[in-house]
Amino acid sequence: MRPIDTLSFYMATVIVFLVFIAGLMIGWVHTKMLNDDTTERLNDLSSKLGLLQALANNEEFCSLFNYLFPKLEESSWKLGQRIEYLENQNRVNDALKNLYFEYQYRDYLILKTGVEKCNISADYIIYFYYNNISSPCEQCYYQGFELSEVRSRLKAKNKVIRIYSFDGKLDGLGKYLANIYNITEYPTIIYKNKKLIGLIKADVMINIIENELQN
Amino acid sequence: MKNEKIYVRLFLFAIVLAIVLIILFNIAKPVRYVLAVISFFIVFILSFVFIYKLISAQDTVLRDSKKSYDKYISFVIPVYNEGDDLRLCLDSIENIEYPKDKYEIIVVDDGSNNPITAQILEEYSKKYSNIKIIRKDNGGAASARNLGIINSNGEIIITIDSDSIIDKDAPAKLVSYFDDPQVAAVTGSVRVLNPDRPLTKWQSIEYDIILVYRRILEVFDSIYVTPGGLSAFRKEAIMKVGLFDTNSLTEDQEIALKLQKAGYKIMATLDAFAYTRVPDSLNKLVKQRVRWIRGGIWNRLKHRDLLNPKWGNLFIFGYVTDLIFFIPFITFFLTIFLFIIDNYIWFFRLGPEVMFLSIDHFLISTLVFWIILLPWQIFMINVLREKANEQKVKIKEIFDFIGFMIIFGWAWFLVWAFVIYKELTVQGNRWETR
Repeated sequence: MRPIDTLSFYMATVIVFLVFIAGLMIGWVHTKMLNDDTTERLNDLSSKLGLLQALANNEEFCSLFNYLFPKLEESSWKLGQRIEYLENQNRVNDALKNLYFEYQYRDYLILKTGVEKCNISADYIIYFYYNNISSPCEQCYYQGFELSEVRSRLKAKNKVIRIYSFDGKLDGLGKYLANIYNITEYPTIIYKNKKLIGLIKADVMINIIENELQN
Repeated sequence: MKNEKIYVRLFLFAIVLAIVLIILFNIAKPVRYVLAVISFFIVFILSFVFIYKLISAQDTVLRDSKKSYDKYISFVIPVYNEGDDLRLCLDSIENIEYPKDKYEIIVVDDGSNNPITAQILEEYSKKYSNIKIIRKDNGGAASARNLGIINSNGEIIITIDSDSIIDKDAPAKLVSYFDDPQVAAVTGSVRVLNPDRPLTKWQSIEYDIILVYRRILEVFDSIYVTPGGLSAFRKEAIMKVGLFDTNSLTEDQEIALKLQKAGYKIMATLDAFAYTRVPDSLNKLVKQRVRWIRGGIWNRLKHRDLLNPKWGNLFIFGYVTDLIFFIPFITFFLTIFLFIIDNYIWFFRLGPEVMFLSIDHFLISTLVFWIILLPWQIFMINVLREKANEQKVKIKEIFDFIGFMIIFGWAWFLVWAFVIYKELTVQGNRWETR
């Protein structure tokens, strides 16, 4: 019977475990910082959107809307991408998601006001998805990429389309809107009163949008 | 052998099947994560076991070898179609610091069909009276070594590759360990002769690191390879365990396992140097490593009785570790590869910001360990360089280390792919020779 040097293994296991835990903690702090930073940026955008909201009945509204709204759209889109990335890694908290959905809903309301008051045309998509670790929505993951593709390809043609995404299974505004739109399957896209269920490829979506614009 | 062949094929078939099922059921992400965490622990626990042992037994690990000139040595050199390197090898042995009447050189020509080899051998046998030439039909390095050992007069056999050069004081250092009657073999310190391009530089780093690891393995009494490049054996012991296995692809490992099982001690040196030429092209390197891995698998199958805790540290380091270490190595790099692929898609949506966002706890832990392992590797190389009276690692060499850790590690993908292909496609049930 030859001996096994268990002490070395115990020592090594303890060291590795400690470093792994340290890594976990640093990762956790990093994720928290990312969430805090994103919340801060979202609050900043929110205050600018609040300005537009406050001036909704003012005669200066349209000029401010035409100046500020495209910029806000670009910034909020980037923030949305960041949240989507973190969400796919299960590193975003529900409070931040709800804050973002509320921001988007306010953005949507301002857009409608702008269309009514400033006589502009604007196109938008409302997209419902969900993100659940135990039963993940695979198609939702890919739909995010397809919609991103739709936006960038239309932008290349100087067409702006706003995409409002909501987690239909998250308690809060997302779930509320999913009930209103009677969403039962995911992913679902609402475009011009059309309900498109399942994964819609970018080519198909662009065709639908362009056909609508021609009509 | 037939059953062992079936086991190997079943094992490799299971790996392929697992990959197919993972893809089919779309569970790559969780499987990748679980494998990554397991691999992470295996790799780093083993690394820290060695670090801990070096620290706790540094006097033993880093000791210098003594010198002894009292035993008769037989150098056994198998030769097959060798050119000028053979001259360098023989000249280096003729110039060793050891009494001329206390050693002989036995060159076994393993059926060379190259006229230059015959010419060199004839020239050297005329030039030096202590060189004995034996000719045989081609049968592999192990059979050539065995024939050389059988025809030798030495109490100590030193095996050396025909493309290696031995240091003047290496034989005396190797012989000194045999004062202990329990010692059956001593491994030499084989280093790289041609570190002149990235691929050979990385191998040079690897060879030096392995030497320190082997010295630590000696403390664990678990050395499981006596490299053909330079090793010394007690003739009596090697005869007792039945010489080298002519069917093994890595007979220098198989003999070490046999000696360990027979209860002998195997020691390691850090300062008995030999310099050998290593593969300078990816093709040659992959071929060599495929042989090493396949040889390792087959040797473990042959000596599967070692898979028993009664063998103590040898069970861990000579069997379990060596087999499982390749798995995390592959999954570890596979994980990083898939991580890059995942984030590469996002790069187009988020831009460079993804680099910052993608930092998660796993990446941080891994990074911390790489940061710890880099100076640990440099430390080991410096130990070797100090023993060889060379300059310590310079700042500009850091890139070689990073290349070694990242690029050289990736090569294992390729090697394992070839191993699987070879094992699944080799026809018949014979043991394949070189």
